[in-house]
Amino acid sequence: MFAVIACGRLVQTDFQQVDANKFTLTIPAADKVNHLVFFLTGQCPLPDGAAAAVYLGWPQPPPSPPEPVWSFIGHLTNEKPSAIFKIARTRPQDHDPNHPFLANHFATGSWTDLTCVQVGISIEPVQTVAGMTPPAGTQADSTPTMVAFSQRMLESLVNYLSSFATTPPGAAESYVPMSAVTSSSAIRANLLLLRGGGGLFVSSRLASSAVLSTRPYKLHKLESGPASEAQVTSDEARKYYRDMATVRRMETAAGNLYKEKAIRGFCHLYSGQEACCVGMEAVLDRNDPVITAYRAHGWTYTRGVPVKAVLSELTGRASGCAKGKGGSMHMYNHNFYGGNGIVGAQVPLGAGIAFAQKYREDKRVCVTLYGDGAANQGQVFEAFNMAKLWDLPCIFVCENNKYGMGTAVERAAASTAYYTRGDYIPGLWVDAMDVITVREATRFAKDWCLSGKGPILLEMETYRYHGHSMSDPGTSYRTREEVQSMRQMRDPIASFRQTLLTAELVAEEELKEIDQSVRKEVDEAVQAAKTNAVPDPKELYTNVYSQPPSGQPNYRIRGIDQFTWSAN
Amino acid sequence: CRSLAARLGPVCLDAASFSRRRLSFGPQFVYTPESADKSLGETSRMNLFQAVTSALDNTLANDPSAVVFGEDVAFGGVFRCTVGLKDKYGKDRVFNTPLSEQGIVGFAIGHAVAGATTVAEIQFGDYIFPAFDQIANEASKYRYRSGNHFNCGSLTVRAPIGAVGHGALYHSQSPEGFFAHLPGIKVVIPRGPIQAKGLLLACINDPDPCFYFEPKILYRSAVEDVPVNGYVLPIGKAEVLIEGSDVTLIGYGTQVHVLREVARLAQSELGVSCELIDMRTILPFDEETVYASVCKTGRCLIAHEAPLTGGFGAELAASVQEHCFLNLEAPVRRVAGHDTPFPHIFENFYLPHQRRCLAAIKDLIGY
Repeated sequence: MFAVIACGRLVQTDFQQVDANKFTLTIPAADKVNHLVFFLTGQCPLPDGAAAAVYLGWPQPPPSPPEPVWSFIGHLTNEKPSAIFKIARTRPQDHDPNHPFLANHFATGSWTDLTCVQVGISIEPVQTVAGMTPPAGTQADSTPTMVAFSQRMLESLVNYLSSFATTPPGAAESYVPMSAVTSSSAIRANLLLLRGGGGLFVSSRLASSAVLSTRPYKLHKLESGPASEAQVTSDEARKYYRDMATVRRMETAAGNLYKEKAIRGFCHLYSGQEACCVGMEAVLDRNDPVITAYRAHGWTYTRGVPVKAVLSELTGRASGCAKGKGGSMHMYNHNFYGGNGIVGAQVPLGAGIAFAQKYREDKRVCVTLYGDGAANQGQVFEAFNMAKLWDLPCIFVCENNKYGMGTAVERAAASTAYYTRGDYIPGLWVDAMDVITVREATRFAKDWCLSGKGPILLEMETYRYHGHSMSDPGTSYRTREEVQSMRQMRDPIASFRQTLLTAELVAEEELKEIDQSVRKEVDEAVQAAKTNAVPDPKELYTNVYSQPPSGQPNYRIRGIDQFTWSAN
Repeated sequence: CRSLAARLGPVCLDAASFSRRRLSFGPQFVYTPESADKSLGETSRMNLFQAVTSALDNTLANDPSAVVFGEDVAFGGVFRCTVGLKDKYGKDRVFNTPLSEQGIVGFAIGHAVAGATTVAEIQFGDYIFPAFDQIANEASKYRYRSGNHFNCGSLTVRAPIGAVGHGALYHSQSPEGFFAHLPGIKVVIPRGPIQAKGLLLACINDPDPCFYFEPKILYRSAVEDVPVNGYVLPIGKAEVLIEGSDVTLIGYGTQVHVLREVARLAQSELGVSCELIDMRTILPFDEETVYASVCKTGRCLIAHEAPLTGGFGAELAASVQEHCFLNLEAPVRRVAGHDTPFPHIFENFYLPHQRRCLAAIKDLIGY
């Protein structure tokens, strides 16, 4: 009957009926939410003469009892079936003891989470509701009339343009350059103001940089950890957003291609883990080698392989980054050593690459990634030992997405504190659903290695939305609710988007434009991946050795026959 | 269903036509179901993975020391070979291991040495290599080095192998050649559900460590009426499936079914009568049956998916020429995978398909 939308999230209709005329619903992570939209779904109208009074119940921090502090914020009627409310100021300073919901006890686990808010809707007679006044600051401004609209537009335009005014030398007054007037950003900034819905965006220019906080880290054998705050410029913000959005779209496209059988075999998608590769690449440069396991498409992209080459490799085309010979698990590029199918096998390789860097005095770090499943492989510990013994500049990264195929980490590992399992190697636990947190951890790790202190281990706690591979639906060993709640509450792209908008680093229009251009890029890549040429048949037997054995000009790979080499 | 010749057509390697025609992938064959000996009693319709489950079920029911473990076996396994066993026999007898092949096999060897019937699963034959040291240096040598004091004979390791159409480099390998080189172990490869159950039970009961490789493409596509009770088939004994007089065709696992069609084509297109042998056991292999057949026909074709050089066919060819030299009308031919890693692309050109085998038969006849 009722539905509520929080900005940037999926619509919620999961109201529970707690009384004859009362419904409740929980909104998670509401400390990030500024506006809520309520509406009647139209399934059944309100009874005649009744209105739906909307209350918000914020939990109180301990030592107060856990009952929510309820406050009335507005109402819906059949004639006014939808409304927007600003909720940022309704938190527990207001207290109304006389409201309908205190009598109910809500035994939900969400009360320990102070960021959840309960929404209550009580169907009451219109007269009762009309007499109630919501607290100040909850009503969103109603749409102005045309006159008021135009007035505001002109005011904001003048404001904006006058900020560009300069006084040329020798002039008596200030002038505004024509470029400020004609550039599209002027128009954009004005639209931003008007859509702010009542003063949310106060400034007329976006910030060029902002200080964002990182999520807490856990340290193992480290005196101090990465910075708790980081400066992020708007260019950086756009880049990270764009890269994460591209990886997400590319993986979705790969999943669709797989379902169409344009991709066959094994395809392990990275959706949900984007902050890890994008955040790390923000600090690495193309001279720092990286080696990872088979969930490699995201890393392949951030290492500089265009989306077209990634998707073509998946469909086995000659334009793929490994000429179509490797497939999903074997994608390579300069200083990107793949893409490895055998679990854990890449970790000793990473130690070896790090040794080569040290030997050549290259001042580079080698990033060696593996998963929570691989963390139990013996060869990983052999690599740790060698790396620490010889002080190799190797950043070991465990991308812990909580499941090794279908096995939850608790059922596979005696110790799931993967950041401590390097034992004598110092470690950091990182909340890898936030790209800035990942970035600062990587900065810390890179500095650590390059100052000659030897290897370091980062555990990136992340989550994958899809199953292990395309043959795994991903729901037989975890609930759909778990996946949904990760998508809603901790999605790296959505939460970064929210952060950027709140910090006014990037305008919403720009983010939309980025989304559109990413979509276009991936769509074109999908077309190419479906239609590009397949490799030449002789690729079946080339690159086994570097060249044929000397002295045998007519050497042919053994086992092939006239069917195979008649094409020559 | 179009005839095989029409389906393969002239094998055209023009890349453009390849992408246009979308050739079907993987080993191309039609599975011919067999029937079990009536004396084995009541049967039930099972595919190959269900036959494996049935064999493990019989084992766990009759042998209280038996345990089954491996990656993901508790929920039923990625190929569903262990469905229902944990619920029936408990999680202390059917359990998951962490992702550590060397650990799994080493642990299994120890458990077997202590006297328990141990069935360990390696999720894909391609992943068995970290465990190869344990197999080569511990399992195969235990009895010999201890002067029969100890042995790990109650060990059986199962793994799926072989091409599946889209497995690419790391989900399609056939590693039996490496294991054929280890005296002290036994290596068995079934061709269908009835064979699978009997051979697996034989391996589990065998007093030596056994490595049982299941052709993964047959898990679903091979369906037969399999006896529900336990029964064993002989290890170390090959089987003559078709009697013939002109050429001996030797294969194992999936390739047996490809060779069945080759035999049919040879008869219809070339008028050549082929004798088909399924090796069933790679090590120790049935020399008697093979030599008797080749001495009769005088021509021998061996086919396997694994690469040519050093593949098991090389051992068979060397042994055949040694024992049947004077009876041979033509050199022993092998049709095998190319000496390359198992490819991501062009898999159907890599495999020893019907046309390649038929071409080899033509060479043998026309020698």
